[in-house]
Amino acid sequence: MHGMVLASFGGSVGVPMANGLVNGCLWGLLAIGIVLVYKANGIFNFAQGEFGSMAALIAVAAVDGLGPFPKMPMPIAMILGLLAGVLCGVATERLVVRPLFRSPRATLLVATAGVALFLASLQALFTGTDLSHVFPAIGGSHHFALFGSLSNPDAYIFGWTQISRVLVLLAVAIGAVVFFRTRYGLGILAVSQDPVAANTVGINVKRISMLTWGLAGLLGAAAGLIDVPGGPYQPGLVSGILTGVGPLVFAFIGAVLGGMTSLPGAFVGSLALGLIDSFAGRYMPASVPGGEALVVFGVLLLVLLFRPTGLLGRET
Amino acid sequence: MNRLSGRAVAWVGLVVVILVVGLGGPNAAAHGTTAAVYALAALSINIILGYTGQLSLGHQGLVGTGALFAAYVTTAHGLPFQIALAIGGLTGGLAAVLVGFVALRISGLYLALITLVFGLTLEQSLFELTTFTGGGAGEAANRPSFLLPNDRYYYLCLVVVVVVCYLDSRLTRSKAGRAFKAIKEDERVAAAMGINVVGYKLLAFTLSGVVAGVAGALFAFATQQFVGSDFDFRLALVFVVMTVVGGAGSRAGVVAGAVLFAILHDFIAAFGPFKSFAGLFPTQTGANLLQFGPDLIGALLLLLTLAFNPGGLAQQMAPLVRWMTGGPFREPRRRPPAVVVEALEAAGIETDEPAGAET
Repeated sequence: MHGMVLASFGGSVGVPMANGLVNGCLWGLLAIGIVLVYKANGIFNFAQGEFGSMAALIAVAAVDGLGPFPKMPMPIAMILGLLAGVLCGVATERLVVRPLFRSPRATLLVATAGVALFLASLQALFTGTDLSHVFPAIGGSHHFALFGSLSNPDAYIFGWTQISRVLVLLAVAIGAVVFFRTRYGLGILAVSQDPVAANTVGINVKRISMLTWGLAGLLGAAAGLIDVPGGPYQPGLVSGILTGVGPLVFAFIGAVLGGMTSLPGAFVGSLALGLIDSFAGRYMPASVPGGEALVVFGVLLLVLLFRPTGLLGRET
Repeated sequence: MNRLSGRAVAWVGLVVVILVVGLGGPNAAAHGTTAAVYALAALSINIILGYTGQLSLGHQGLVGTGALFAAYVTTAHGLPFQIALAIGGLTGGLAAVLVGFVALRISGLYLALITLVFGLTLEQSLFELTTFTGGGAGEAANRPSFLLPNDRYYYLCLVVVVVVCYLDSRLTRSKAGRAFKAIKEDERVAAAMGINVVGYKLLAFTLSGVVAGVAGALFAFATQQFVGSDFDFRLALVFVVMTVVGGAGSRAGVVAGAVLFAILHDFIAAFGPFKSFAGLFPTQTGANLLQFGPDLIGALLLLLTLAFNPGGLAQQMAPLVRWMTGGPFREPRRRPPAVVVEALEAAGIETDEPAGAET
């Protein structure tokens, strides 16, 4: 009796909730990177997702022993992936953002979209549309169940891959709180408020800009590395340029829900969006194709029209 | 040979080259058709990006809407081709009004985000509605028999491009065209001058949507089928990339950019040295190189354009375009107004340098 109540709760509320929160963690990680760059430079960085896809490619290649890589254990592959993400972030800052810094913001948006297209095509040169490169699920096939047993179709079945998403987001949240109290974190905040004044008081603005983009690359890479395990690697998988829709779009919406300039807002906005998307997917009639996409689009419009500063954003 | 006839020869040469593409067999005509459709898409993006300075990352949604409804009224209701083309344009414009009515109140970068999500939403919802498309299988869009040969269809698309270019040139010289320009320069200044900023932005968006819808209808009839998944985010990016590389704001430039990107794929795939370069790699990598290399080159072209050649191809083409439209080949040396020159000379200042008077 008790089991049945639990199972029906799981099917109607619990499973969509858990799915939504796990997706929201992935989007939140990307959204934090997006907000970081937006605060620092006022740029919508469409390349944020591709930092993650590049990291995922390197990690997959290292685990599978593709190309120049010898076969490596998973943790080392992941560290290589993170390094690749940081490298992409710094290179984007040096080669694209800095030369164009005085251009209109729309131009920089087009430029970062160009970087995304470039990186996705670059990945496609190596793997093509071949879906055989699978990054193993974290913790193997060991699974847990919520709201029922493993054999129950209404239960939420999850593994260490899902747990790692939540843990990584929590770790990044704690890390961010600590980081923004250090001199580098304060430097980023100071430059984002007023670059000229920050320069006057002796902050090296150029170095801070590089640090910002390096961090964005790291966050993007982390997102890519928690996105890819357990599924096939596809070029451009995080931004969805070659695959249709990727997490990047949801991360942008999550960041907007959070007010675009607030790091905790990006976190909360993405989790909220995860829940909205998941419940819309569960309860929108199946006869309406793309029901959750319609709901998400509606939410984005409503927020921008009636509360453009987002849930936690402040007036600027 | 005087200048007028030199110009006439150049025009005749250009027209002959464009017409000869239709005679190069069904394949060449099909490529030409793609180029024409891309040119329309670029002209559509140009109205909002080039003239008004707004960015849309969801134009594949507008093009797809035009394609979907043109295919639907042809196949499900048996309407003639001309009406279907008009309906493509109307529905594209209508979709643009719907999204623009809300989105244009929100300025700047958020518009790019809204249009992006709008395009993706259309791709997943409207383009998959079984009422219109019979599921993912797609809706047929058969051409009438008199347009069935590829070369005839290519010539029809050319006519549409020429008509749109003409209307576009009229638009830029109208009151609305000047309002667009003012909005691009500075929205707040434009508003202070009494220009209805939201209204004119909506007008630009609507006109852009109509052109995009016509492009979509022509696209559907070119492939004789509407498939929703053709209109993906990558296509939206390609539209923006080709407009920027061509030179947003310049009609001739964006058409040139569109033609370049329409033939880039097949040109690169057929380019001898590139083929042998791809042959150096293992089979699979070589095939990937041929398939995705053009996208990579397109993205690189975009970044190089933004950094080193912000005017796009139009910047290089400017002397030629000026000459062919009746002006001199070289840019005439601009001198400050006569009054200023006199005043400066009276003060004993050299005026040969184009001084601050013109900036």
